[in-house]
Amino acid sequence: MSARCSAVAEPMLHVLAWVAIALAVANVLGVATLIYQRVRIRRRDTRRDELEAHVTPLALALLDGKEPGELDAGAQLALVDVLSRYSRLVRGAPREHIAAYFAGSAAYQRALHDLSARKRWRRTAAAFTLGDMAVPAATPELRRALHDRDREVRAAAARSLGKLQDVDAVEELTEALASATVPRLVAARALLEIGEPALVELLALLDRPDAAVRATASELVGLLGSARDAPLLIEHLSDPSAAVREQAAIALGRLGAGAATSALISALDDRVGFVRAAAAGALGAIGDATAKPVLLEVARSDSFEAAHAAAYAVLALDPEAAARSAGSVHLDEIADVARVRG
Amino acid sequence: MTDEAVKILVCDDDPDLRALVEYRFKTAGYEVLGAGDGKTAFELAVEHRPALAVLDLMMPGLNGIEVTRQLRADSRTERIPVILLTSRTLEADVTSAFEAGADDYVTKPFSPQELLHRVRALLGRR
Repeated sequence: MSARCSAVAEPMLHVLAWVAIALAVANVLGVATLIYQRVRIRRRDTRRDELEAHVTPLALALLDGKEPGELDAGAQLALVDVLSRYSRLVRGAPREHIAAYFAGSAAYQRALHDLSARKRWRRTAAAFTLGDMAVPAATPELRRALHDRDREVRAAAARSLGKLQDVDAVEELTEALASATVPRLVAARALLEIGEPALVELLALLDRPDAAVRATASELVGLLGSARDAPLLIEHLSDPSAAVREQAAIALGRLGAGAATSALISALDDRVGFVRAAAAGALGAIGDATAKPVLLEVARSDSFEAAHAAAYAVLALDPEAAARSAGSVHLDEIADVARVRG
Repeated sequence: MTDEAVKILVCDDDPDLRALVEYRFKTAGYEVLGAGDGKTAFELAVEHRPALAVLDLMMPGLNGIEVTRQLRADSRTERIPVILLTSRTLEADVTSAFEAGADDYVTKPFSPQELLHRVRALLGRR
């Protein structure tokens, strides 16, 4: 019996031994590969940091219109990276100098070409980069990319059209926002960057059937519009959607629309707490003292969010009265704040 | 007071923005103290008493508004003018900035030359 066991066990032991050796070798190779990759990446990062340190003074001087001169391929790539980052931070003449540099560069031509690349990531990267390059001539290609089959490419194109403040893209961007073919936040941000020229299209969005579109449009009108845009927003204080009513109230506060005071006071009776809170905040921003009595009442008796907002609205309207106020934890709080502010 | 004698404190956690602003100020003849966070900015302000501070609004740890409050609360730094750099003109940010004691704000993306003009204007008033 033991002889038979031994005859079976010995070959198995050989096999197990070879398996163990193979696993050990594989482990060592795996660790060695990881170490090699790590060293390679570190060397690449160090090289990139050295190149950036070398080109940063050139990039800063270029913002003043000074040409960087001849650079090797590595330094050129580093300069493109640095200028792309600076482009996001500046406006005015420095951004125009960046655009002038890129307009004549191989990097710009490559990015334009890559908008038609087969791979999605190339098209996305190209669409994104063109916004940082700040070259206005890229806008027609970017508007085409707004209709790319891939959502990420469309989002990158929208973002870049905003960076380039392309007024001709407003209609397409508002449609992209309304249809959500581009993430709403991205389209909204792009329209914000384009600014006042987007207002007409945004006001038209206030009548769309989708409540999320109306809410976003209300918010943007509040950021771009003026008091003369108040009437449409006042209408939307009665919107069936609480989110729209909230954004309309916030927007009216931002616009400082005194004509909305009466409607906002009515909105303090809204059935939804965050709408009441938004109305209270707007009344504080508008600064009409006729709202104070009803705001005090809300601060004393309403739910937390609305009462808190109403108390701070009272503080904004009448700091002296706020310092003497009492009757709820929120009024006690603003009394303390008013006294600290002196 | 000549430009060469004047120290400006610049605080931003974005090294690119700090490099941009420092370059602009140094080119204009100012001496620049750079900080990457609010705590360091306050310490530099106490140690060097700069003529003016440019602070980013949004920073991890102490943000620009909190640093401004600390500067105003300390007798050694209470008179340092402060300009805040903010990403958007959100009324809440602007209100908080002025309530904390900031003297001016600039929204990003910004014009470095415009920032320099505002610095000169504030320094000219003092």
